[in-house]
Amino acid sequence: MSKTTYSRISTANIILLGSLAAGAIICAVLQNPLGAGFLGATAVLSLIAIIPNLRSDARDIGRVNAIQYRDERDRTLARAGFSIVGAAALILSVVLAVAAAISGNIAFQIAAFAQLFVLAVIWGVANSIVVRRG
Amino acid sequence: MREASGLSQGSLGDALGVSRQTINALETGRYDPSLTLAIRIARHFGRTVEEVFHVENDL
Repeated sequence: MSKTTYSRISTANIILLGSLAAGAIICAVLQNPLGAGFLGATAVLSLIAIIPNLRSDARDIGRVNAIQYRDERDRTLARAGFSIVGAAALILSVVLAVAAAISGNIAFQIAAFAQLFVLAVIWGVANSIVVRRG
Repeated sequence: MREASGLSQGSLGDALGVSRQTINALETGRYDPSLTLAIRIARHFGRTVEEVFHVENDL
């Protein structure tokens, strides 16, 4: 019988929770209660989702969703999942850029094209890194 | 091999530093381990990698 142990919270989750908490505090200081509430609630809900997946007997889908990888299979599954997310983000960004161009709204166009440009740069950098390592 | 050693999937996973689900995925052929993990599993049972893992349509 294996004993239930608990893993440490992952670095990615520390950064995620820290960013959300810092954002909530900054919003509160700037007297933006809606932003503070939204970011604070997101941080609390994220923590509630992460904690059960620190257990060694947590389900694999839970660990992968919570970015609490236990072993190489979790990381392999997460990479496969994130590659689909990346492809979807690129496709949706192209759709968004087309919608922005049609709308004629300058602010919308700048945001949409900036997002598409940044994603394309990240894609190129990521490909060059994995090809070099591969 | 695991059952012959009287180990549960969870306890073998603990011994190898992987999850119970990973052991299950290996046993059911849904996951191919890295070379490092394959060697660790083989060493755990005192066997060679070739004795533990088999490739279908062996080249």
